[in-house]
Amino acid sequence: MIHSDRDRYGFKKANHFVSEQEYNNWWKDYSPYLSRRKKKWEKFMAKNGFQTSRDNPPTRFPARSEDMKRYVRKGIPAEWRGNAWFYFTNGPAKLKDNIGVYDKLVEETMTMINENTEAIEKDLHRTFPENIHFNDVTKTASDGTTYEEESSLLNTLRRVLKCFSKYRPSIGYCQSLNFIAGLLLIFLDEEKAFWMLVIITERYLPGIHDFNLEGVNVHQGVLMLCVRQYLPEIWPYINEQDERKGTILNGFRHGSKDDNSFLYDLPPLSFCTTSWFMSIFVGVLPIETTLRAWDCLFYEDSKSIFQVSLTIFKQAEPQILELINASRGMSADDGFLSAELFQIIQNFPKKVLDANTLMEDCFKYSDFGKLSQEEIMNCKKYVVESRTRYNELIKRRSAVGLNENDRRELVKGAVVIENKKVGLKSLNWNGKLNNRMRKIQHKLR
Amino acid sequence: MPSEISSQSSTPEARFSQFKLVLLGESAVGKSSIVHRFVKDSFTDLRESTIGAAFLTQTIQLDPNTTVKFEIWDTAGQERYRSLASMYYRNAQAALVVFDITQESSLEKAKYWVKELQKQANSNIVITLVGNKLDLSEERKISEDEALAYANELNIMYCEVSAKSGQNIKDCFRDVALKLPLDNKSNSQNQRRNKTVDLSKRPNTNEQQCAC
Repeated sequence: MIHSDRDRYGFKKANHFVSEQEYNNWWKDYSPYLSRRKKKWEKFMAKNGFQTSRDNPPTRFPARSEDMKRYVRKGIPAEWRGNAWFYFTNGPAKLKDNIGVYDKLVEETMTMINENTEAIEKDLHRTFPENIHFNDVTKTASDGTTYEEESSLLNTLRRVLKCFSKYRPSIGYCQSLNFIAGLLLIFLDEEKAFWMLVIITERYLPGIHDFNLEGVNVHQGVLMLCVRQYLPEIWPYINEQDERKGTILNGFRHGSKDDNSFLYDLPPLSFCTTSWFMSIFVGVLPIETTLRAWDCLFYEDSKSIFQVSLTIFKQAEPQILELINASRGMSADDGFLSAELFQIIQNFPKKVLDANTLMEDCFKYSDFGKLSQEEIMNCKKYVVESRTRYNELIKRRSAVGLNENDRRELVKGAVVIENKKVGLKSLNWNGKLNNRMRKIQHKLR
Repeated sequence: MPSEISSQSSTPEARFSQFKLVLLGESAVGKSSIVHRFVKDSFTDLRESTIGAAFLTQTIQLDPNTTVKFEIWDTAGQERYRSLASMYYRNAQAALVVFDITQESSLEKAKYWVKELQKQANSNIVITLVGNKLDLSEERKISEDEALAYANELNIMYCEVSAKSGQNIKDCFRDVALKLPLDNKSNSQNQRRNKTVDLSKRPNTNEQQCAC
């Protein structure tokens, strides 16, 4: 593989952010690591009474345990990945409950043409255009002329996305599902990939791909809460950018520490992290690193996305702090800091080839690993409530359709009323996390 | 008066301005390709669809004394991303609303975006309608006259480009820069932003002050 310009999944090793040389240097160490882990997995499986062989990848896995979690966090063998993900997410039960459903969907959607299928067609060739499995194949006809034939995997991807759009009309087709389904298809057969997509959008990314994409904003809100709690050094710079001037809540931003207006007036930096959720890191992190994150996600829960996201921020923190230092003395109106900050957050993850260090930083050298699903769910509930209240407020005041200035004036007053009414400022969204933060800070000192 | 000062000084005061520009338009019309041509002067047929938004910057020299830095938000084109788009364009000083000259429906989408921007964005936002894929002019479905007439009617700029060949891309961004308020107060503060300009020009500024 070292002599090919492709990785083991057919992706190009080199891109704008990682050179082939860098890839090969990293792979030299990572490849033996994978062999070691595979052997350990085999032993672990045998110990738990599961037969594995080269030709028979396991379809069932040992019961959940701390050991198992540790193994998953260190990476599932690539050959087993599809089966493992499917098993961990209760795919077999889903499949059993829906025998024949997929075949029927395929039939029903065969000639279907609508907004969704049009959008799907536009994205098929823009999914993994540089991956050999998703490329058109150049064939030679009997008369010697060459022609392009669509790869079979593109055809499969089309079917899966079309069926999904029919099966989940509340989502239909949303750009970014092509990347999730595409990566699933490298590891799972068509029907299983379809049900995984259903499970992912139901359980792990609820609301994220819905028509209004409100779920995206909610998740961004939760991530921003996490950043505020866990990375207090960089948070002020993420939250207070010149971009925010002249926005809806002008004047409220720089108020008290407990000001949570960033939940509905999201920091522009959250534009850069949108894709972290929508495509679950596909196109954000290098592919091997993405797969490690997916391993954790499907064994643990959606908290994994936040844990990995926080770790990316943490790894980028030295760069961010350096930038903050460099920009000291510049005017507060300065766009310099925010523009550079966007660049770091957008480009940094693309270079994180070293999946092991990312995982260790997440689960071993930080407390992000201890962030519980319950905490994430509590945060989410809080964000949903805050945003709903805010949106209703806007609606009630029929601010929609007014220009920015009108709206600002309206909301300005409305927020004051709202604060008085429900004491938004004193609302402590998550005491448990606050305590943990204090402990971490204490430890660092 | 300012021109008088310039002519007296060997190196007139350098101006540096920074603007936020957002690209909007239907899916697959070539928004990302336009940005990449402008920023990296490259083109690929193998471009992935944009998820959410991508951020890029490019600095151009408008004239020997004027530097303009664009902070560009390239957005996803699918219909449902409209709800996120308002976050991208609300502080933008310029917008490129892109359509594909070979796709009739894409102009309709572009018209929607122009209306939306005129209603919701900064009142002084510089909007440019951009017809892309000029390299496919044989397959053209929307004539230059039609698009131009529409642009004139709404008092916005119009340009036709090809991200693939690079035709008109630089000129298009240049035209936008020329329309932007390079001299307003907030942007004179921006001179401090560009550190290289700042450091190299400071002695000149001092000289000028001494001369006064």
